[in-house]
Amino acid sequence: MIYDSIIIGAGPAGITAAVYAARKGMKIAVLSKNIGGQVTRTSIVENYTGYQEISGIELAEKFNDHLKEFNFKFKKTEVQNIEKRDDIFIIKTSLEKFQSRSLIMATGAMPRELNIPGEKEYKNKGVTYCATCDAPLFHDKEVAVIGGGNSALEASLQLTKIAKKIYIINNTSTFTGDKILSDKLEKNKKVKIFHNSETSKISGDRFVQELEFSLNKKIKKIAVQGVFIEIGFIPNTKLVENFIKLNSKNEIEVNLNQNSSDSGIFAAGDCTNIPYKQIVIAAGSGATAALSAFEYLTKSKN
Amino acid sequence: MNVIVYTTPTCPYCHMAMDFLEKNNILFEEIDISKDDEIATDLIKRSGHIGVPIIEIDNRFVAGFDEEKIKALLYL
Repeated sequence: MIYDSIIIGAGPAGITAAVYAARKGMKIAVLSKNIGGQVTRTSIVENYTGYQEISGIELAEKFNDHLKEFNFKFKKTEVQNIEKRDDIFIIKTSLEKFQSRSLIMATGAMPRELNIPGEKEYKNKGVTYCATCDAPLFHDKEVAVIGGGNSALEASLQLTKIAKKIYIINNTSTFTGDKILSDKLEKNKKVKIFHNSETSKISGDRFVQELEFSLNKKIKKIAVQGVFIEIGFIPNTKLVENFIKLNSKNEIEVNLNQNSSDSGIFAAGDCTNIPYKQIVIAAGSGATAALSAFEYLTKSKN
Repeated sequence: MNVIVYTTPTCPYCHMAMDFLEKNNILFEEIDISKDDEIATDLIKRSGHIGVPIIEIDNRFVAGFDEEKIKALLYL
């Protein structure tokens, strides 16, 4: 059996692509490790049209419900290898092999690491990359949030309700996240903000006790029990790095039709070079990718 | 076998871990540690981990939804 399209990933981009492709009558399969992608790690979503306020988990469940409306193959699995032979893509998981005429990459991104001493050693011992998961464990504790984008600001805001003191360590001169969030943090007495600050070391005994950073070439040390690392994401593009064009950030380069450098591979969401990594943008680009794949298939059949 | 999954309400990996156990017909108890500081502190001390989920299988701990480790401890 040869599918019209295989969609890899089931975050907002992959799910929207699947919905559009299914409605076009395309024979598709969706292969993904999870449903919802990074949405599930977001505590509250307030900028997805139609929902003034919805939790990430709930939004992911809504996506899943939408996915279930259609009768196509969904496999919870990890793709291990992709090959192209005579215009047919061969997609391998650990147990199975799929074939398709086109491919929609919606593989998203994973949290970026700081790569500083102590980070690995203290992972799950105070260092965390999932504020929604672990923030409740820092009740009345002192914590540091590393980063200055929306993820960092949202994590900090969530922590203002739980922790005793929140230090925000940002390596640029201003926050890159939304003003509506940074305004709230700047007014909060529990929050202390350090801009132009480079985090350099995490240390402790059994658990995290101290964080070191440099500000104006001086080393500062703060006592913290938790370190929330929210410094952006690395695109999941290893599967295709050898046969389509990636940019310097390892994002898949796409045109306005979400088409990559291979005419049969489309890509959408955070794994691509689209400028803003937002749920609504990922979803929109997923729709474009599916429609473009449909057009590609129609043309190549003629 | 005694299986406990320690969770917080907004943790997606906790849901994934519990789905996995359910699918494999493993009976488990879920404890939401965001509600009780004492339980959380005690668990952190005993397991050496801060972060959820923590899965306790007959007094042995798995940090995070680590399918391979869970399978090994449950002989799946």
